[in-house]
Amino acid sequence: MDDNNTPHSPDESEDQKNSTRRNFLKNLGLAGVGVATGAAALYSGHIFEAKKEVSGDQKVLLTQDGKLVQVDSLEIKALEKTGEELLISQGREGIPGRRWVLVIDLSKCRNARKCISACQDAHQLRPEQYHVNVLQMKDAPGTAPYNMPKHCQHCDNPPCVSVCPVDATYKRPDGIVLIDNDRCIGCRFCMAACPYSARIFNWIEPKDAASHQGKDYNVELNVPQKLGTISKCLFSADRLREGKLPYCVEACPNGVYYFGDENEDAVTNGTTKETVRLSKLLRDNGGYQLMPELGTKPRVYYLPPKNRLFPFEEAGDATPEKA
Amino acid sequence: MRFINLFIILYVCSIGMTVSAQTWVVPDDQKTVVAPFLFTPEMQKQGEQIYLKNCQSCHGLMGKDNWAKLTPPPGDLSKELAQKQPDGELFYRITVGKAPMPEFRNILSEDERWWVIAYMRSYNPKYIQPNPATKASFAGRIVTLDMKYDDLGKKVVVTANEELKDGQSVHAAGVEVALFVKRFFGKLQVGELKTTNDKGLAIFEFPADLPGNKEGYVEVSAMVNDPKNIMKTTGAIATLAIGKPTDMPSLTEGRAWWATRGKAPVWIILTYTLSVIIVWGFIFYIVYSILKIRKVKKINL
Repeated sequence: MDDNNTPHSPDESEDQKNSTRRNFLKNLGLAGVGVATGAAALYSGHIFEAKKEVSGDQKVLLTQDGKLVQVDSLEIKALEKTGEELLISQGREGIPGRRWVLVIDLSKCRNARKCISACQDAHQLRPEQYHVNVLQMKDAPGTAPYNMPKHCQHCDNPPCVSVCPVDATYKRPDGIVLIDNDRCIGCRFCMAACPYSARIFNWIEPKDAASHQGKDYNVELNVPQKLGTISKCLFSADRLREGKLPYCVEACPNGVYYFGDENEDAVTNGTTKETVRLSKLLRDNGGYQLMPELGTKPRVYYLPPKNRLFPFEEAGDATPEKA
Repeated sequence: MRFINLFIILYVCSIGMTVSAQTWVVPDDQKTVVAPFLFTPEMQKQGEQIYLKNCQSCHGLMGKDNWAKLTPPPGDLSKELAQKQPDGELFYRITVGKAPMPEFRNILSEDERWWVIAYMRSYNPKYIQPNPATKASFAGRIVTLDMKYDDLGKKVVVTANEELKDGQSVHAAGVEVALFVKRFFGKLQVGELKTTNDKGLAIFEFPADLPGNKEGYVEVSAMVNDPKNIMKTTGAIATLAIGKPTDMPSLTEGRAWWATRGKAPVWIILTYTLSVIIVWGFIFYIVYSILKIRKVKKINL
């Protein structure tokens, strides 16, 4: 290796240094001019905008039938959302200031299955598809069996929402977890993520698909159901908008369900229409949640199946008349 | 032997059921109560809505015999067993209830209860409505409630006034009063029933932890408890700033693992951005190094 290996001679580097200083000054000058021009442009733009608000200038618009018209910019209004667009946007916003909560009193459930049929009628479900199902439970060999209605738990920390790759399932400000079937791509990640098995998939053409064709899709009702997408309990978000109790809660003949707003600390029984304090109800009856150890923070509470004054029976003959 | 036992049990049960069905006796003075107005088709329509919302889950659809299988059986209200009862008897049963039938005293107004009866009667072609009751012929007490909040004692004070026959107004003693707070799906009773004292006052302690709106306002209403329906009463309603001010944030406000885009936790955004920068930086560094090698090669040549 010899001197040739050095990339630059001392003269060259001196020359380069000079040119760098010159360039720097030139660039600085250019930048200064640029900033001044930009500021001037911004300021004049601001003045222009401010003037516009006062005077209202004329805009040229294209009408639906293809004519160009001139309209004062102050008179231009955005169209009100209607139809499906409105349903989607209000379905995302929810009902402000509310935190819906469901309480299920297991000591009263007699497996009448009215909640199931009311729900299936409302949400266009086949008899084998459940948003709510009544399970027959037995905790240990020595303990008494009981009936347990199981809904979507509308978790405050929903694993299903975490895994959705397309923002189809989402949590609303009022606590409800909903599904936008128009966005759903049917990947079923959410079904796998849900520890409560609350979700169902439309493997085959939904019930009465022909009669629901062309209807506006209501994200708060999941109707019309779509083939190849997910569905689940929605806490009857469409009914809550009307100030009514959910379908299942209203249909129960045995007073199992309480539904209400946690912010108001009140829940209303769907059968007796009696309103009670949520905190007191849970405290006095030993309310609990399903699998709280998973950290999902469910919005559904259960009251234990104590003091049942009727025998456990199979589905369908839970009525004393038939015995 | 087992079968005989079973038969005995069933027999006893059936006797028990018929007895319990018969024990719901309506006081004689209630049977003669009549509606304060003539039933119209509009009222029947209103009554149908109320029926579908509040009654149909147990009694089923009218004339379809699809009532819920309960003990005692609720029965179809278009059938003779219900229709043979006079209006007053039906009104009393709806008002008072008897487990498992809920009492509708605080759920439906008096008019609403009559509308349901109007709807029921529309299934009975033989029904002829008795002449409506008029206020003048009303023999019972006429009580009006008034409500105030006592700031010092943190108590709701309800005053009951009674209108006498000669038009004079006096404090009504011995009137049972219930206090309610409006909630989204219904009215929440506050405390127990109170009976007014000699000065016509019923004093309710208002729970300090009951949530109100942002400013603490709650809609409070006072009603007379009149199970035998012997009074003509007017309740009181007021919006008072006596609840606990409640302004809970929406459940999607905070950053969360499951939230989308901008609302993800800061550490996820940082880790993700940093890893993207590092990976791309590394790639650029390699490309840059390769270019540098070529440059060195050129100079050497």
